[in-house]
Amino acid sequence: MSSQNTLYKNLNQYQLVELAQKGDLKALEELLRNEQKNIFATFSYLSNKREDVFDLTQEAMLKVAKNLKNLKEPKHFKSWLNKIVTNLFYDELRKCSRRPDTLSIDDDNDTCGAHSIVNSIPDTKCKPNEKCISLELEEIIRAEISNLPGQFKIAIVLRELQGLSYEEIADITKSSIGTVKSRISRARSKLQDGLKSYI
Amino acid sequence: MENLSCGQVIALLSFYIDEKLNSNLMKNIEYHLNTCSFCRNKYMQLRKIYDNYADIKSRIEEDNDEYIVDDAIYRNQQYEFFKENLSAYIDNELKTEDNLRVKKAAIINPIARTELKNMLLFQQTLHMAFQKTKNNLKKDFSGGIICKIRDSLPKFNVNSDLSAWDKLINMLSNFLKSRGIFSNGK
Ligand SMILES: [Zn+2]
Repeated sequence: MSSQNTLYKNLNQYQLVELAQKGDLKALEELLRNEQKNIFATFSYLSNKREDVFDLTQEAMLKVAKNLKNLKEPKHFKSWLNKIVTNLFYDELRKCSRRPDTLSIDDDNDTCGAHSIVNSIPDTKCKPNEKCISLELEEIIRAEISNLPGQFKIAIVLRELQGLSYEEIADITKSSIGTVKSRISRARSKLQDGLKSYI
Repeated sequence: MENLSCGQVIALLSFYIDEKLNSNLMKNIEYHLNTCSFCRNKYMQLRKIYDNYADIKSRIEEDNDEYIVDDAIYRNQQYEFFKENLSAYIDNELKTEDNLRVKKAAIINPIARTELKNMLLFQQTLHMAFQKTKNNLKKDFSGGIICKIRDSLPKFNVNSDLSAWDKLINMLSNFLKSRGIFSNGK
């Protein structure tokens, strides 16, 4: 299978973006494969509706694939990707409920119908000496974050999960750096408060 | 009774407070402290620190590590500044001088230090949760997305088997390499 191609596996994000922008679909596929867990996790913390997370993830990936050629600086990929994710989430907030048929890549109604479109990823269990938290705690943290007011959870997720700078977050959320600073600080206090008995 | 010098007394003060000296020496120091105001002052200061420390220690034991030192002296302006900027501090988003002010507060102020420690612990837990969530995705959508957009790209032939194509290119480039001609595969 094409995913076994080690050449692409050894390329970094910047190189993959550059190749993908030149029309290299295998580079694009590898890039999407590398980013999907990240996108999935981001939506998991932003959206209160668990059932929407898969759709949102695929929608974001499709947007990335379609619009990558418009990205001017490959090194700004991460920030650009998060802008797409955040904007999709804003759309989601505006909509009251999702239409069930917005996008369904899971369906076989496309040109690649013959083989399974959605492959499964092998389980990555916690290694014995790795620091791990329980499933329960992860769910509690996810609930605490996704229940924060919209702007607060966007700020804390972009910072803690995506590692973006205050400047990048300010740009994505169209707010000032001071606002971002205070949102992140307040989000942390709220979360620390809510998680006091668990951590 | 032996006469101890001030230097000797001060060197022995902490042992004296802990009552770790023989009775003869204990008496000698006691005598000196009654007669020397300089050493008595030193003794009082040290005694106060020790009592404070014992107090904090007993509170730690009482509250099972979640102690709050309610000393008003620590809730000062420096602490307020610390609290306001702790979040940006751990994000490394402060100006150098503010960064130093926060760091200094964490060194001097035990409440601030505890809060910094808790904040880092909290952050570590968040990151572990994120890692776990990432691994909750058991599906690989990337191939499907590529299929979706391949149609919209005219220069790619939908019907060509890309992996077979790659094998062919690999074979070609290996052949060329074996002949000493380098090929980048295109
Ligand atoms: Zn003396």
